[in-house]
Amino acid sequence: MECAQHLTTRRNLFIWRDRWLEKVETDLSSELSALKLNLDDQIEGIGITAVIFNDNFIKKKLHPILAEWLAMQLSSLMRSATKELLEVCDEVVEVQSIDSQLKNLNTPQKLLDIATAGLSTAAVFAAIPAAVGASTATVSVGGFLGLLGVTTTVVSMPAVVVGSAVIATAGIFARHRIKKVKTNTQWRLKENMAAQLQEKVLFNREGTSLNQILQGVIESTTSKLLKELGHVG
Amino acid sequence: MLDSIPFSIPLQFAEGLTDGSIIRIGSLLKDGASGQILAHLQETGFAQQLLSNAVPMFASPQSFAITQTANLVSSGLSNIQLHQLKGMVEGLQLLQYSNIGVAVAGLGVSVLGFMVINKKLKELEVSISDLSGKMSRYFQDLYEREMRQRFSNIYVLFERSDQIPHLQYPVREWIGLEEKLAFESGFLRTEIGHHLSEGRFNPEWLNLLTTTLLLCNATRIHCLLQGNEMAAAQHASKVIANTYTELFDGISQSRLANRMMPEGVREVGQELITYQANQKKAKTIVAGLREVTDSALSKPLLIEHLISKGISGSDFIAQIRAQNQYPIVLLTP
Repeated sequence: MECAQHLTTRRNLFIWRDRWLEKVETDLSSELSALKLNLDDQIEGIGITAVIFNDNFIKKKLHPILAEWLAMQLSSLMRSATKELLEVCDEVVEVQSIDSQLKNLNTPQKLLDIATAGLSTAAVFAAIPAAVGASTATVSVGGFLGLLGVTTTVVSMPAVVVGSAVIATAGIFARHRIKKVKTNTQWRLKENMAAQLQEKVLFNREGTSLNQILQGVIESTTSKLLKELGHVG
Repeated sequence: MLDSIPFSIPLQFAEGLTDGSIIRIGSLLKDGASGQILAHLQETGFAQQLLSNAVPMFASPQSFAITQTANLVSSGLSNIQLHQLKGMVEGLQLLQYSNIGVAVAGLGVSVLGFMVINKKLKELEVSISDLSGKMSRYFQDLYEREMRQRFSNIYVLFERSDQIPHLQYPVREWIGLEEKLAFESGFLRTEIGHHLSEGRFNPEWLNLLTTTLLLCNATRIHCLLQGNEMAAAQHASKVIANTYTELFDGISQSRLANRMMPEGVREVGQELITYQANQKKAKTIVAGLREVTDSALSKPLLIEHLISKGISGSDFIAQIRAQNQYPIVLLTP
């Protein structure tokens, strides 16, 4: 009977894992569209100074939006995932209470301890910046706020060169040319940002996107719980 | 004969399975609320007759239903009404029969004949040979070095097993066969573990090796039951189940999908599309492996049930093989 109960808990843990592996990706993909729109709006409102020195624009305008979005997604997804996981663990408590076998009474606490260690919001918050930081180590602006650093480098340098040249030869067509530079910069910023966001939020080869990191947390939490369940059984 | 073992037909639980009040875990049917075991599922000889055109290990239930319905209608089983056949197919679908890997290893205790197993093994060997030719030098070397010899050993074991019922002392032979198959299973398990720990991953290779492993292990339990070594059969089934949990529990769709990514850098958008397509493939594989593991985990409980009812292994196998009306029957507590 004991083994049969563990089979049910196993099943529920896998259901939880599969559900959240999919939900994390689906939710991030869905929310990413809104983030893109928001960032696009910011880029639309870019001033001429920011066109020339858009490092500052990215750092002061775009990064805070992105950082807030990431924190919100992390918090929301992990809170919901943890809540559901605790319900799975609660089922273990109930079944074991019914079974009233004293030797098993330590199990729920063990499971809960591991769940909390693997999925507490604080732990996830600590893990994410480190992983994201590693992924941005090669770009111009390091750390958590350097998520768009590649965009900064790729997009801003040609803009600065072209922009400076335009200003230096300012004449009757200067205003028109600056407008054109602005439009081009906006387009490039949007394109590069969209690609970077997809890579940093949904998937990259190194496995350091937000989606992959969260999926990793969910997988390792499930593995720990399954091992614990195996030891109990 | 059927009365001596508490068999019943599976459709009595159809409503509960549909509304979720009854859940299936491997070959167990459980009450969703209380967790109480309601029945053990057991395939019969009739199931294998229906599945004579074996479905792929990880076939989708939809493709299974379509294929099987077509097969049934055209199979010439004219003594059974079409609506009965449809009912059976629906019942099998309800149990997600094709996902259980039952065409390979059996739901409950395997009732596969040894000739059938040998036929399946030969098909597997050809597939492995074809696959190794398409893959890296490592797989070709491995195939040349080990696989041919291993398959040859397994063929011989299964061929000899057909003689066992005719021997004067068959019990000893059943036990001896189980022991030899255990060594072959050990080799296959190690190869699967090695492949799963490698950087790259090939789903087809995993499928072929896993299918062979399932056949060997299902037959090991079958041998011990034929020898009426019930306690040993239960113990072996637990060890096999633990092997599967160790091999397969750590596999998830995102990890597999990542390892299925082709080498070389591509555009960001294209990589995401490939990754998502891999995730779909990986999901099917993971679901199949989980069914296999759940079935293995529930098998010790089935044997425990037989022991508690005082049913001998050889009698049990004889009865489920003789069953020619229902593909799956239930053993109720």
